[in-house]
Amino acid sequence: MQSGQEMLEETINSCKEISQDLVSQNESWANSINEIVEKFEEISNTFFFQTMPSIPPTRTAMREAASLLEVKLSGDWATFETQIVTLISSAQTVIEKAGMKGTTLT
Amino acid sequence: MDPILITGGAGSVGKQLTNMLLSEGKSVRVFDLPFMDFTDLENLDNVEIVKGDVTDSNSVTEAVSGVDGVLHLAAILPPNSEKNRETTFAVNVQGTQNIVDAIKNVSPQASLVFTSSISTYGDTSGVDSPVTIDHPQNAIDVYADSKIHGEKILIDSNINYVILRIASIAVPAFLEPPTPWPFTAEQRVEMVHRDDVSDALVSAVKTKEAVGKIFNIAGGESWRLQGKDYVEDFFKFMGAPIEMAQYRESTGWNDWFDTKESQQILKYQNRSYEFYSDQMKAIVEEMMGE
Repeated sequence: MQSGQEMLEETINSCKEISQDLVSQNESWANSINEIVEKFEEISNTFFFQTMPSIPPTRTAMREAASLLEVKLSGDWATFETQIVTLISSAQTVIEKAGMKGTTLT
Repeated sequence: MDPILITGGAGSVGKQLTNMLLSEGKSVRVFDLPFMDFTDLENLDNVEIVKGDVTDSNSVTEAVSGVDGVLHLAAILPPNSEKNRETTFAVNVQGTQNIVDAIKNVSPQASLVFTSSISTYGDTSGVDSPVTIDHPQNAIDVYADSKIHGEKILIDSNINYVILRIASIAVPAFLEPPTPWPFTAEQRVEMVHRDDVSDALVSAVKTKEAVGKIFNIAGGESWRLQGKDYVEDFFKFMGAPIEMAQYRESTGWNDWFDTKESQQILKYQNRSYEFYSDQMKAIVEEMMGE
């Protein structure tokens, strides 16, 4: 089974492919995808992605990124507009869940 | 009815204590820094908010005036406590002095519950366990040193005090582990459930028999483990590879502690290590199902 870390890396790679030349289609979409890549790279080494609970949200983001990449390659921009919103929402969930705080020790 | 003051009361523990005291019919005064989030407290009946700083004697006097007891939580905790000794001492030591002075001046009948730490014992690896409260204190970090000074202020004062030397707190939540863990793999470790600490604090402020005493606050028999037992379980709960765990290289300030008297008087050891383990498994299972 893939780890949360591996799924995150796959998601980053899909997003990088999605962002290629996307700016020529829609600048706002390109900015959103670039922001996801930036944030995911920032959090990629956190403890969260070594844990089991990282798997469900990261797997969702990974699948949605792969699906969005397929839609981009097919040139179906109407569907792309809908699906990018879903990916942004899933990415936000991953980022929030990865924001774990430290244990309290006195 | 005079309120119980909670210094540092806008944090998560302070809010939990507030709710516990309210449910027992007490009124509460919360004292914390003005930039803290008081949202959950502002609309509660029988809760008064005083915004200020323990290093400012005027705001401390305002907070202490007319209270029945004080739960003194306000402090700079590790790792921040280790960054600047002067700031840590200003808050943890001078802040405590300000509370004691204010009690003497405006609420001399009030009892002060001081949150100290078992880290004040320092490295106890060479001594017989469990560590008793008369064991010499020997700080190995700024935080512990500040707590030793804080305890001395109380002991030298003529006010009613209770000192709680609290063990490492196990929080039943999905949290990042410390790096490194503050003990070696083979070291004796006895943590305490967060909610048992809250029970001890509430019990300490309302139990007359506790006044003038120093207590070790730790989890009890079921929590007595070796460092590696606790850490291995933690990584198992999280489903994370144990190879990631980093231990302290030299013996730290954890051990097993004598809690016979604290349990007899405060009756706070209500959650076993097995109970905590089950909570952690349930939390992770819930996250997996989301």
